[in-house]
Amino acid sequence: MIGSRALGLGVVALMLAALASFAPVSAMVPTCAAAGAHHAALVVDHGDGSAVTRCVAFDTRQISGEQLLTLSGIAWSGQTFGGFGEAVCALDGEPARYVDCPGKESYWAVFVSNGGGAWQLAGVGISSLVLGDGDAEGFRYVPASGVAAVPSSPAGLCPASTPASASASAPTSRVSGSTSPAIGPSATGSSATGGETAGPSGSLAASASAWSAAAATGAAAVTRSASSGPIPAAPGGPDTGLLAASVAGGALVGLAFLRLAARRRSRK
Amino acid sequence: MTAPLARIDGVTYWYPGAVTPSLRDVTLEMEPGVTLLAGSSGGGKSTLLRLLDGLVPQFHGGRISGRAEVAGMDPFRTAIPRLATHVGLVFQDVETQSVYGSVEREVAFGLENLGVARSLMHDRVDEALNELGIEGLRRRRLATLSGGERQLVQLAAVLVLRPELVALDEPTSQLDPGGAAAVVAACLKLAGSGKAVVVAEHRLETLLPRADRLLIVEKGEATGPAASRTLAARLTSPPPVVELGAALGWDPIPLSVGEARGRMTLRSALAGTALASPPARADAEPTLVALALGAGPGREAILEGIDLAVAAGEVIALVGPNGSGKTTLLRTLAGLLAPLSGTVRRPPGRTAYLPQNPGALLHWPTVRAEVDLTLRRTGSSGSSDGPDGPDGPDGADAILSSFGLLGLADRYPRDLSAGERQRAALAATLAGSPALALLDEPTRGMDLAARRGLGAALRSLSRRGSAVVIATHDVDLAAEVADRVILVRDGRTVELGPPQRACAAGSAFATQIGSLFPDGPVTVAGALAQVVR
Amino acid sequence: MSAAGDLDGPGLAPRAWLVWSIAAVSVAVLTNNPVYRGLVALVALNVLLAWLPPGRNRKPLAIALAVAAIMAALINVLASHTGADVLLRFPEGLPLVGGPITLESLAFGGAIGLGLVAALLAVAPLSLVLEPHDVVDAMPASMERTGIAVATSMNLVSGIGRTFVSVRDAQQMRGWRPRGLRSWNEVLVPVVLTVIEDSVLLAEAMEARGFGAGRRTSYSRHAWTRWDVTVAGSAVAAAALFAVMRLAGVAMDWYPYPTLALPPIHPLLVAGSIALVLPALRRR
Repeated sequence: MIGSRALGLGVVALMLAALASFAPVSAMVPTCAAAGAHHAALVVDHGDGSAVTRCVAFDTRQISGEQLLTLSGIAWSGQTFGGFGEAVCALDGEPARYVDCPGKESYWAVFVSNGGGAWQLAGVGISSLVLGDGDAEGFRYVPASGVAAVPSSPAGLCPASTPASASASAPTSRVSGSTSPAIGPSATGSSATGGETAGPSGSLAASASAWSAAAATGAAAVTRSASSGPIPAAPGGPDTGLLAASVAGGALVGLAFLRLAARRRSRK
Repeated sequence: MTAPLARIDGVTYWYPGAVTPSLRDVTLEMEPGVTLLAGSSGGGKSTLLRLLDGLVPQFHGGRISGRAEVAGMDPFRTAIPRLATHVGLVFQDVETQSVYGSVEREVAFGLENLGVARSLMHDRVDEALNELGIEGLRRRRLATLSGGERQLVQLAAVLVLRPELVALDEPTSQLDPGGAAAVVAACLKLAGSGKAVVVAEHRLETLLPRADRLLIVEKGEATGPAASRTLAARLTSPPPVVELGAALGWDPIPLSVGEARGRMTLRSALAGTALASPPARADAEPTLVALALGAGPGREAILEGIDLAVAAGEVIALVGPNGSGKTTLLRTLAGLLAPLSGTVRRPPGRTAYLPQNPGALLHWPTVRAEVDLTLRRTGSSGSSDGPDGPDGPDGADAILSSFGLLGLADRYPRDLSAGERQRAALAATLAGSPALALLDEPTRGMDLAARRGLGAALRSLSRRGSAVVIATHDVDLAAEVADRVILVRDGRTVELGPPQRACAAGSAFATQIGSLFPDGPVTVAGALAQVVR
Repeated sequence: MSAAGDLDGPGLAPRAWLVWSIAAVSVAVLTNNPVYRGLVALVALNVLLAWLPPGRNRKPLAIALAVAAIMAALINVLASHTGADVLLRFPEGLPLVGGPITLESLAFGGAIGLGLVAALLAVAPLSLVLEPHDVVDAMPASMERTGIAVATSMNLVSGIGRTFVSVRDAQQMRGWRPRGLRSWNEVLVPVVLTVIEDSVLLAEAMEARGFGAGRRTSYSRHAWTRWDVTVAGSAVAAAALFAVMRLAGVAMDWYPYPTLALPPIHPLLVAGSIALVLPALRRR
């Protein structure tokens, strides 16, 4: 056997590594001083080009995209999809009637802007988005195929907000599922890519390179956050999960090849 | 006089929906020892055996009248699992009897069914395997065993329940001579240890002289059981020696070659000349030619360097053990397998091919419809609704009558008995005038009359110029029909010559008549032509 | 115990195999994430390669897997038209496939195909490694009759291939040609009839050996060793981990719309997927 004992040890080691990276971040959470102390911008670009903008004030330090939209007073209806969260089917009366959500010809693309930075596609439902002071949430009604154009800029919609984080990196917009406590490594470092263009460009090549950027952002975006608070940067490096999966996958593929070769040899 | 193990009293039985009964007023008793059950195909042998363990009427349904008692129980009403501990039944086809894939589990299946405690099962399995001498096969996978070994495993699977009566329904019909001999030896051994063994068979050569009694079932009526010698003359499918003795009116009738020796002399032996060999066809142009042929079922060749030449109108018999490649050779000659090396040249015109389980391919509503299908598809004009109609020499009626099927022509072929179905498949395959006919074990499960009918049909084909190649274990068929016999063994072919030589005394493929008359005839007809009383 | 035809025994207790298979299939089904599915597929492939008896041609299995995966991907690609990266466009008029064909739907279809492959590979040992009687042993006592039905049908199924070849050969020589769908009746009907008859013969033989009497006992008993417990336990734990984390709302699913993004990869779930590899580690 090809060092089955060694392989078993490797598996155990991997599992330990995974568990070790499970470092609950228990930071102290500074509470908001006063009601209405935090603001986030909301931009809605209709299909015909008309726009609706709001600045929404909220009490808590963080707010979900869904709560933000509701607070804004703009009429909307949505639908829940499993792990994705809430998707927006109709917003501010467009479309007047719908059958499919998201629509097959046009749909509402959701964007997030961190602290006033460039728009990025959210990639999750609005109930899974977490926004803080100075962030913005954007909606644009776009055709179903092709690259989604970004909404108009959120600049100047809300009073200028102070950079929230005490750490060196800008706060990323974190994505959480529902209520239970966080598990998993915190997303960091990837926030540096917050300045990248939103969404891939039309060509595949660009989309592949943007994919690696989106990978970092996406991976960051979908892991659970610790409880609220500035998240210390991980000791530089991509997501542990991705690393674990790649190593494991590579090892398994290699093993499979070895076994196949052994069988072919023994058959001769 | 020991008490009979089974008693049947005036039983008449109809299968569901049948008009004529399969058993008519059968009255008999079964006793320990070997009882040989003989009779034409479809005559009721299988039904009688199934009566013994309750499958008829409980499994098959239908109507039954009369009484029966087996091991003190009523087989009409007693639950079959209870009867199974007193009567064991081994069936014809090894493949469709096996439940599991391994020998050990297959034998233990019956014990599992009856809820025998696990601690006892191991020893019972040992006991059954030892009784047949196959302990060495215990941990084998069934698919890796030969046909004969598999039938022995099925026999062990039945013995494990310790029945007093063991019934076997044509257990050797799919086996080669080696496998058949092993099964027959096992039956005799079992009888020697006090069990009652009932064996239904078409090929009676080995068992007839060794059986304790003979039971004949024809058209549902039973004659016997009685001593073999008294009933042998009434057999419809007698072994050649018995047929010869009956034709010559000998009394007592010989049951084996040994008993027949010295009873007669031949005209040719008196005259001191050897039998003239049939005219050689060596000068005829061969129509089927194989040169340096290499073939195999997959990518590996099991046959190498085969050279074969068959002339138009010639009949070749291929003999050899199972697994030697006869089927592969036939399929390659037919064009169904591409040769791995070498070439095959077939005669122009149609090639007819009969596979090993020919009944499987029938599905049209009547036998005639199947024959017509072949005639239409192959462009012959003799189908029942064709331009020439069915009456010409190529017609449907001709082929149906040559296989004795005119009376069954409008029956659904899958309702017929195994032997009748075999004949129907032969008719459907050989209809029209194929230039080349390749047949794989055509006489499996056939009685004597059907075999003679096949022989006549093949000779008629050859007279009309077809080349015929038959793979067979049936040495009597080879002796009666073939012009040449070829042995397939170890991946090669060996010319054994005409039947006069191939089936003569001392050969591995000797017929009974051949053993009886060294340097003489090998068929009953040949012997009758030259006998001096 | 070394001849080619001999049986080695199932290695692991049959019921442990069954538990492992069910757990692996559950993981492949509990999430549509191609990373976890891919890991499960690789794990199951390794297990299969470790245990497959040598010399048996497994190309039909590989072909079946490839066909299943490709068909699943194709169906999704052609029917779903959402996604930002358009590869090509079919005319809108076409009934199902009209519209843009996007990279995202191709990727999502690939994830579906991957799930199928993973599930098939996870179930393969039950048929390729275990003997029919092992499958019967694996069933819980209440499902024993089902187990026997499954075991005997496995025997019959292997006969179907032989019957099919034989019937097709014979019909071909009688002038039949495969011309369109209807013509296959000439081959398929006889095969089906023969299979039905064979199963009746088998039922008869089984009944003649006492089947149906009622209470059955089992010939072999597979006592679970520590390794069986480890394998089964870790497999159940892995499946439970996925279930618990899904219920807890941990993001594990993958929605590559409107643009392709890397699926969420959680190290614990990666570890869970890999835990299924245990059967491949020790081959007695």
